[in-house]
Amino acid sequence: MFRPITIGLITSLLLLVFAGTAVADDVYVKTRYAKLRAGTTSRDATVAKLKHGAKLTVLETKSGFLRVKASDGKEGWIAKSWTTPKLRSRSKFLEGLGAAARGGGNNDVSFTAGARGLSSQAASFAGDSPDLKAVVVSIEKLEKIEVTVDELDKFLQDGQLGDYRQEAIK
Amino acid sequence: MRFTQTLAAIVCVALLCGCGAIKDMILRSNKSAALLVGGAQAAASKAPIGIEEERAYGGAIAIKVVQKYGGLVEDEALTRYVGLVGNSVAAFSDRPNIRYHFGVLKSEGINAVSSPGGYVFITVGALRKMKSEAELAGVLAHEVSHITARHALEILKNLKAKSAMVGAAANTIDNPDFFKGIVNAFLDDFLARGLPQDTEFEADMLGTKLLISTGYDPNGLKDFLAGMVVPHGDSHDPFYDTHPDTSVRVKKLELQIKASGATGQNHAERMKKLMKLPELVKADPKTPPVSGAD
Repeated sequence: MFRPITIGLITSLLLLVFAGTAVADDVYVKTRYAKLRAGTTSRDATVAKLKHGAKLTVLETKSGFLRVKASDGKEGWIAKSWTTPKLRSRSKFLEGLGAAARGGGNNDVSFTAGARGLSSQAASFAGDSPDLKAVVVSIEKLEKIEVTVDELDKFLQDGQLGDYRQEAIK
Repeated sequence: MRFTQTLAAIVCVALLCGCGAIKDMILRSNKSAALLVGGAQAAASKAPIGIEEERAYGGAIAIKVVQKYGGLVEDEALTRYVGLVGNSVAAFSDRPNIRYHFGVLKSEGINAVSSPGGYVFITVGALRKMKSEAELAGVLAHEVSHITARHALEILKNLKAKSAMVGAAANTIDNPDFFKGIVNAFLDDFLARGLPQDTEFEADMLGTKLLISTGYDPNGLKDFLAGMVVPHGDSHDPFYDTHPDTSVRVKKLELQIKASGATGQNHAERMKKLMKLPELVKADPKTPPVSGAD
């Protein structure tokens, strides 16, 4: 005979095991962004630009690449290593909070997620010290130097990195 | 039976909280059960640090790091190039959607430092030693990995928990005294000794995985470190005071790279073309010089 505490334990363990587990055929983009392409080489046309956390349904697997269907119905190929069967729950939770605070939501976390500028608490750490206040100003200047998605994409392309790696060209 | 009841209680609390830290506690059930009954305040302090709180702690730590290393080099072209390389590897990390900032420290010492929330700094001295963009990417990937693996955050979380245990009532970042107390306690250890050695090894491993994911030569970090190998303790450079024995790190990375079979881009020429370093830099007179002794 099972005592209530034992049933509770089993139920809780089952919930724990299955909590956050994605359906087997679904994967998520784990990189900051990724391109869905018409084929498995970087010469193939871009079908869609995907953001971190975008949910994809796997249609086919082929030597390190997945043919997937995005939530908007677009189909294409993506490197398997840029996807994950499930987003890390803590990461998704934390970053999701940031997106929600700016009117975002779902798993479609934007490239620019994360509040801008030094936080007020951090800045207050400088107190009345002129030296530390000068450091605060210099960090705020640093934070204004932003790398856009387009800049990063061009940099990766020029360097045959990321989506443009030589290994992807067959 | 008492053990079963305790375990069930922990599992239920873990489910209610959805908390990784508490799930970890299940694995250490007996010891953790004692912690769990240590009070609601302590339990709350064991909770993961949220992104805004992380940025607050990280920003404050960044302020002190930049001060210690003599300020930031204000050269937009240089900062942008380092930022492009850093963001390239960060884009393929486990936390790709944090806003990362990559700054160059006005120091001829050889070091790189990161702070929670996405702050990564590298000294001019370290840049001067680099022979390729893959080496730069490797060092930045190592620092990004400290952030993605939440190495400093775990220490901050433990400091918060200890503070709660001794009775700090308003243990939030909005309490200036509490906030400064936690940051200063962290900095006392961090600036003198760096992060624990096991986290340095983990950041090496994760950083090299990032190089491979991004398509850089996986030897980047290893090659940079190999150029730094000196008998441990024979240098006054702060790098050797805050990092494990470099030759051990190099050997571990050699094994990892060999097992991966990966190759990638080195981009020595692109770095030479795009990275224009300033003449010998001097720290701002208002800030203390970098010293391995502090």
